[in-house]
Amino acid sequence: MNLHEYQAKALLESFQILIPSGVCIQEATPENLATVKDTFKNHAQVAVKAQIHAGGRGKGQFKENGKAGVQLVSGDCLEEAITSMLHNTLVTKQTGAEGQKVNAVYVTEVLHHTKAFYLSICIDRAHQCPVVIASRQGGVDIETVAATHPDQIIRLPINPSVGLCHFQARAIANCFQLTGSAYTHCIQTVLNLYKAFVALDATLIEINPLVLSDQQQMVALDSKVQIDDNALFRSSIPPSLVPIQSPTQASTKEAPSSVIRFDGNIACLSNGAGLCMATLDLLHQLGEQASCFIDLGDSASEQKIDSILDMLLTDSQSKGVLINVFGGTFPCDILAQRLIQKIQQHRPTKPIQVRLEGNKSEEARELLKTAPVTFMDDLQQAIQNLLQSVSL
Amino acid sequence: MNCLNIDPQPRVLVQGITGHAGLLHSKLCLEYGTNIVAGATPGKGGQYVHSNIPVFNSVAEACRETAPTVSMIFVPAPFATDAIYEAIDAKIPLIVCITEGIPVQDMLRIQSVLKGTQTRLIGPNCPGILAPNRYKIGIMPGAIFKAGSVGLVSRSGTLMFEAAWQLSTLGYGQSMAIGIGGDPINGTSYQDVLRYFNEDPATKGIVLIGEIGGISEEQAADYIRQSVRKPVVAYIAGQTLPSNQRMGHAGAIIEGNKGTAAQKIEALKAAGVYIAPTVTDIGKTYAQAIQSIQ
Repeated sequence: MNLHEYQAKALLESFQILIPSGVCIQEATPENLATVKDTFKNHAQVAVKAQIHAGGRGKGQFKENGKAGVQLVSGDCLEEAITSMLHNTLVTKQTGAEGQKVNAVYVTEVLHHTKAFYLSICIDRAHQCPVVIASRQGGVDIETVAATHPDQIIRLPINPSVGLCHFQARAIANCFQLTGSAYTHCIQTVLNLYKAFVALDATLIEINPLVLSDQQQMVALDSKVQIDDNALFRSSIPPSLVPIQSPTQASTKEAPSSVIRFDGNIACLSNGAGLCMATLDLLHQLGEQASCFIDLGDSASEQKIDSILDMLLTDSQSKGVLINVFGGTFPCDILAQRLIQKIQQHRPTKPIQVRLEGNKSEEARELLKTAPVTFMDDLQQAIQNLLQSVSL
Repeated sequence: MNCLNIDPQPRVLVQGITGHAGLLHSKLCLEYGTNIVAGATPGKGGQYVHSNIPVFNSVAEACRETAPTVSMIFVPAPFATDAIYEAIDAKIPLIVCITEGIPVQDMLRIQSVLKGTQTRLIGPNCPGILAPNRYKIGIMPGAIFKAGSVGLVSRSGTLMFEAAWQLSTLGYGQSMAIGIGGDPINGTSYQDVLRYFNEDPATKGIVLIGEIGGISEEQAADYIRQSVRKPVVAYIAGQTLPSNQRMGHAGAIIEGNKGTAAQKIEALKAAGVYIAPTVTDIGKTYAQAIQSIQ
């Protein structure tokens, strides 16, 4: 689960990490605008930042007005900046051409600072441990720094049973070339950040830039936080911070009504992430794409199967339906029974191609003998056959 | 004992045997021929399931009474981490964890604890292991597997089934099928399984099923090039999916530009692996690979 910048900062603040003062608004009502203006009445400039789950906001542009996703403005232009963002669609190099809708805008103070650093904690899959990454050059594309100045980046593997050691926090303060009270404050900030990483069950916390303020303190100017979905059952995150996921991010496991959308012509159903990907690959390799894709999972209830079949059979964008399910735990005959029911209900006119293997697939084949579907053992033949009947 | 601590005649304990999944799958495993010696569920000790399998309150008690060599875990995710620690504490040689949804930071700590022990963990979030006609410790549909000499390893469950079905249909039975699981942190890696198959006299060739994300297939390719002396066939899923949009850049720093299907395929090819271009070619590619070396 990805958090927005304002949500991430609120959480980090609760772990004693300093952040600039800020106000988040989701509607440009007169009351909200008045609150923002009042909060920053003594500031010559503020930063207005669109809240989306992607980077590159500063250089990104809104589809509607060409304005940037981060704007530095004076109090007079605050309202204009906010309304240029709210409910509009921001396109950055990380969002893809379709962009992301902005439902919240974060207004923060512009903090004067002398140095900007990079600091993050993520999980190193290959070495199976958390790793802290720090760089003296912050506020810029860290991948570029890694390529051009690898000597300015340090990576510290953390033993998950021990945690981040004090010597490692000192190594980061040294990497940043800090002294005096800044050195001490940096060490405390790094230790606090690791505490947050563990307590929040984060898979990524990235602060870019982490700056040194005029008061010799470390302040997080921007922040990205990713929380492990598997750990939400024990999460201490307030429910209000749990963002509503966009349909393409949501998985069918939790929400049977969700579905991944593509630009093609075939509505697809498969089961398990691996077989789903393989089915999409083959469809693509045979010259077609999915219109929508649904993962049945391995323990679907009849209710969930029904709602999935409703979506599959009534998808208006599709010209044909492909079902490729390999029953492991899941019995194929149940799917066949529900499919027959749903075909009677919806009476779809488009061709339906079915390939079922594994658990109870013989029974499913028997059931589907009289149904208006084509049943094939070979997936490649099944797709080719479907594409032929769709093009007719 | 082999490098995966697989007992040739495994005596299986089922943790979480009284739950819905545990009850269903322990029955299917028994029907397949698996020797299940006990179950363990806190607070349910003294019962019997499937007419004569004793249930104990703790793994320690089950070990004292029935000496299992494998524990198969079906405990729900919020309690599965504790179940794994309990099995490690009882010094069970092999743990097969089927449970999906264990927090990744729990897995990091489990891996760190495992390093100091003799216990091997396969999974979590995996279909388990199956030796055709002998035993299954997992949730696979047993009927699609046939006895033979192919070692099959996969991250994905359904793709393992697909591959096994193709191989069996073409007459290439399996020596063993091992699902290592789809989570970012796994107890057992491709390399561990490749080493097992490489050393296993019953295995003549290997089929590796991978997918985009992470760098475990690239690491497997390194290992194959250096150590594996049997033909390996690989299929990588996710070849036409847009590359994962990462949030932040830390992941890119760690893993570099690895992780795409093209890079995995290139690494495997360079290691002499036969690549199945599409999912329907897995069995055929294995047939070609075996024929070409004979």
